[in-house]
Amino acid sequence: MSFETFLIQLLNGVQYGLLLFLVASGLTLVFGIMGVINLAHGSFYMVGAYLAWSLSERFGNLWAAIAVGVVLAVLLGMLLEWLLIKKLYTRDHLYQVLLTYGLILVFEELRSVIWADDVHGVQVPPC
Amino acid sequence: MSESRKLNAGRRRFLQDGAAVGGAAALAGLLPSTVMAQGAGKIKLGMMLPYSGTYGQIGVGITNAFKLAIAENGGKLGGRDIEYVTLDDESDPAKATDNANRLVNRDKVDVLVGTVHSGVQMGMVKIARDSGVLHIIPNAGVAAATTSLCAPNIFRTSFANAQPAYPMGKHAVDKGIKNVVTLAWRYGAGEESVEGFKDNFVKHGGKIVKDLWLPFPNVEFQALLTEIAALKPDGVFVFFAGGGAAKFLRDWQAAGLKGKITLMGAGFLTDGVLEAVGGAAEGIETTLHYGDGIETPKNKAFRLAFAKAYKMQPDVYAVQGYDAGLLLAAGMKAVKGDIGKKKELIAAMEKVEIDSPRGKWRMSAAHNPVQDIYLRKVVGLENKVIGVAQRALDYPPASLCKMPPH
Repeated sequence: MSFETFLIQLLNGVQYGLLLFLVASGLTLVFGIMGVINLAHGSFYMVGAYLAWSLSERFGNLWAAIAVGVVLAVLLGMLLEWLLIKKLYTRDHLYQVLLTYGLILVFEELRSVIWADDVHGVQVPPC
Repeated sequence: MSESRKLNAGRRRFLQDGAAVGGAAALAGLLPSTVMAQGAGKIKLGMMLPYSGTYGQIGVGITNAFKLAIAENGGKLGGRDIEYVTLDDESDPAKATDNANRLVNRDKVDVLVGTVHSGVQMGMVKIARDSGVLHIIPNAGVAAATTSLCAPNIFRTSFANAQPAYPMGKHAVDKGIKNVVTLAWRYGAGEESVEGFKDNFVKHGGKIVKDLWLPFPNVEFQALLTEIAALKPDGVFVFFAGGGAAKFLRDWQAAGLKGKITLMGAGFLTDGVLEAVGGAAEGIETTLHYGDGIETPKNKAFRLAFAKAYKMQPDVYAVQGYDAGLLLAAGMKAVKGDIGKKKELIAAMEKVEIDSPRGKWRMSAAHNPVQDIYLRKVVGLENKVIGVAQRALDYPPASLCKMPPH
């Protein structure tokens, strides 16, 4: 492998790693500040991605989709907190793990029901 | 301590109730269902296809086209009326044997038709081999169904995964492509498609530089595209389909490889995705056993009839479903509706020439279509048929199927 290719692959790796970091940092924040282990954090990420895709299809505009998607995702987070997570602040971490693991399964099936199982892509807007 | 005893008591109670429910359900399954008379009465067709999820549209298209073929045949099979039993297999291999079992043993269908997903197909093939029920495959290309697991009662009206890819191997050499990198999802369809291309490409003097794989249905192509760019082959052969194919075509163009390296694939790479990819697929050549624009009266008539009846455009999957209907109708005509005459029915289906929108074709000795493979090129939003890549292709060769005399 040439040095140039190595550098490009290194860049690919760093870029993908930063993407994963974005997700992981949110999880760490929630755990560190709120004391809640949210295993369903990845599901929130998934919800955000699907909102970005389905809304950008509907509005035809990625920026509008992001704006509306953020609002919807915040509302979803608030709803889950009020409904479920609030009850577990004082409880053992194990209960948080149990509940949020269940949420993973529920979100996965809901996603399959609402948006089906195919692969989708979001068009990057032209510069 | 007392809490654990209470828990034990509750658990015991739950198990008892569960056993009671389970026992009742098992008993219900043993109750005899109505016995179907074989000579008279309706023919029961079990349509086990995906009607939801990623292949849902394909399942609907196949069923619609199948029914169109029956309708053109007078709405009957061998003079008998038809009862359809539909089952959504959800493209879930884990439920495949249970679902097929239900249709064959509980609902007692006369013919089992399906499916799309090769993983589900393996479950259906197993049940078909065990029960001997007549089984028609309108899509899944898994090679085993007409090679190692072939059987007299199993017919396929679509293709074997390696079949559409095979002629591309020689076409690549004809175009002056000397070395190729292959890239595909590592699952049945991907592996068999690449095998078909490699077999023919190497046979005609081509060299395979490297085989790249990624797990199905992963679409992180970035690292692999970088590697391809570093290897600098003359051409790249890929297998992707559906949404994954659309993303690959866009990523291929974004990586700057379009126009620099020749991209090749079986027709599934560019079927149904051209609207989503914009110009990223322009000029790409693929091989497939069908093209929407085939200029024959039969294809034009079929496309018109289908669009009129169902208000949607047919695709290669619909053609396969249509041919499944034609095949069954021809067989049933030969035995005058007596589906009990298995031997004669199978013999008739083996001999019939199907007048398909894709062109005329017959079954191979392994019960897979011996058919023309077309060369297509993406022009605008269309896969334009620019020629025939290979005529009357029997691949994988029927000799790989050892069928007992029947």
